[in-house]
Amino acid sequence: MNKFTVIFSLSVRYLKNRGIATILSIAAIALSLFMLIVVGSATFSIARAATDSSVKYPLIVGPDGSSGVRLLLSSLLYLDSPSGLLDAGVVDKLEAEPGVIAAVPIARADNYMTAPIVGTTQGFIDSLGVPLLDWIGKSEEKPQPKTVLSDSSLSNAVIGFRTANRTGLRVGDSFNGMHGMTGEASAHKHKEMSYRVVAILSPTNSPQDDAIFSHYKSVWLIHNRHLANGLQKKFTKEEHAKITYKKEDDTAGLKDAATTLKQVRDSLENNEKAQKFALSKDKFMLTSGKLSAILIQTSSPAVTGRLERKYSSAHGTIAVDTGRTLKRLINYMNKAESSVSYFNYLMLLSVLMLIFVTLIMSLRERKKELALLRSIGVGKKVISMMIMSETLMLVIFGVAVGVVAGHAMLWYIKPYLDLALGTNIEPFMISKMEINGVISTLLSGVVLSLIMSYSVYRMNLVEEIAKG
Amino acid sequence: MKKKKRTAVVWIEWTLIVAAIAGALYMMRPSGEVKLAKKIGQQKDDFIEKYGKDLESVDAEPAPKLNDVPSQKKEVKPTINETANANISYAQHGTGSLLRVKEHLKKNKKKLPLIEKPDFEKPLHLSFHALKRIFEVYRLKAGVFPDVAVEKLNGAAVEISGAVMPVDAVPEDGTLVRFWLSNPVVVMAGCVFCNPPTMADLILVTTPFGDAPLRINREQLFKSVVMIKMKGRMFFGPSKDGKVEYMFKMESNAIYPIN
Repeated sequence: MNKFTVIFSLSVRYLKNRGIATILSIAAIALSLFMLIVVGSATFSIARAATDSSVKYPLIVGPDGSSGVRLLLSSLLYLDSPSGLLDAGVVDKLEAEPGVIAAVPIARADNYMTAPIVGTTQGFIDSLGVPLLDWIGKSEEKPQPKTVLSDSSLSNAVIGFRTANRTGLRVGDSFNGMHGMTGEASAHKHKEMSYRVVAILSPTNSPQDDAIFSHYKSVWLIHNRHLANGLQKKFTKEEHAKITYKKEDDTAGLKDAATTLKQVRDSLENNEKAQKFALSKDKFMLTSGKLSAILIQTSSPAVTGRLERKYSSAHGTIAVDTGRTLKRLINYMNKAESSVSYFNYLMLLSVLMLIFVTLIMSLRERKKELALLRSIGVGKKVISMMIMSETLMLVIFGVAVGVVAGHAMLWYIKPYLDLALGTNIEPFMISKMEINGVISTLLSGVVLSLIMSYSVYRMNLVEEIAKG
Repeated sequence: MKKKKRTAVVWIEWTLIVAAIAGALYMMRPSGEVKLAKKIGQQKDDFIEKYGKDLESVDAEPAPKLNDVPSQKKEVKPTINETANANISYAQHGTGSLLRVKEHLKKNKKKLPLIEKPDFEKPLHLSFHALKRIFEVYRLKAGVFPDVAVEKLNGAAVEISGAVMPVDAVPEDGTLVRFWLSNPVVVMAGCVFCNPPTMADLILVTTPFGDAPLRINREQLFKSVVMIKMKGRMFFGPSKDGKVEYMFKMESNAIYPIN
């Protein structure tokens, strides 16, 4: 039998013999690595989702006073609420600018089961670059419809792949939006209009998978009706009788809703309380002519730079270069990631030190066993190599289990992480942080094993034999 | 003697532990991208060295100095252009760098002379500084490139370094068939108000027929900056590649990552 085979088999037997201690040591190393894998993967996925979005829409124009990061998070990643409203007329101005390929309006105010309802246009759906997975009237002979969102059918809604899975909504189902972004049970349910699911998108591997899309004018319609209803409540019974608005008239769509709102507003002239209410709501409600943001496709980064400057100093808007804002955001994220990784590395080191202490203690207990080996003629070098291989094996097993189980766990919890982060985690992606973690654990393992083997080498085992 | 030995061993043990911690920290050190960007900004430029003077000669007349006050007090009526310049708003500042491709394409209908056989063995070392100078003249001459630039660069083999910016969404294998090679100094500057990129800070790079696509480390691209040195054939625009508008374009021949 080869000397190394003997050393290996003895080490394996010893580790098996220590059972629980070995499993706990391996689990501790694996858990520390798992943390690194999750952090590395999550930050990578967020950065990827944001970069892909910024490539598609390098410029976002929002209401003056919004912060760039908030605009980016609310308009592209759906991780924050919009910070105000801007005039929809800006879309036309932007479309007339040289170098602008497309200007896509975004109107966000509601959600359904926490999935954001994004009011936009067919152009946005087309820019996602994925086919429809299912649609009303799907058949093998018929190709998918070219237009699913238009201002002639405002109740149409297209839902993202993950939204369909999570909410259970299917083509043909109807639902009502909830006011706000958080999906609170106490939030107002928009009974003013029901959406009908006309199509489900194929996975885009982006935050859009977790959203619901409708035409932006449908958001106007709902909020026009909502505001008209709210205003009506401010009138006395006598005043009510004078109003020309009748709910049954209000069925035909946006034009009627806007007319209704105008009628109610006109009737307000002598009602100070209702006027005050209208004024306060006007600032925040996505009624006709207002948007949360505009996403812009430009023909080159030079155009993006010029428009950013132009629309940040005029038009009552603020423009955000998605790429640059993203860079700032990722830089912050990198710092946070570094801090987390420092703690993780420290945790890993503490784990290794703990294992080191346990091994040293077990070494004292094993003095007799090692002395026995020495007495039957096993050399000092072989004994120290055996101890070295035990320590190394423990660390290598820990790393291997950590990497394999870490990625498997990440794959398992992927749906929850995707929902929480609004991104698409790649569970089997190997991040730099993970590589650093593996290398530093293995290096520390080598150092530990060298220290252990040296300790055994300088141990006086002859004394132990003499003691009997 | 034994005590001394033990102290030495403890010292060795702790030195190794500290070394392991230091090693882990070293691996997490911030990369020197800003330094690298500056270094790229100062790199050798064969074109400016050889033909820089020719570019100066085609520049427009120098602007009057502040000290050049006319000796006699005359009422000088400002020209329409001067009035326009005086009233120029902050929002319009820098709009001269705007590329109106359609207008320029109409103006420059005639084809620019092209170097037919580029020598990739002896490429011309180029920097974004040279492109900026060429673009400056182009703008001053209302859309006409300086002759020397067209003769020496249009269709020539050049070598240039810069930062990679994706044009399209990055696929999972990290392969880019076209991308912007951008001036790293502008990319790293971060302030769009003081340093917006112009068309001379961007070269559209394509990998013809997908022969040599750039395969990048996606994590580095998303979280940091990918800098490359590349050899390729330079073409002058303005033109379009799909919906993308460019002033300078390169067909890649070889790409070397530098960070």
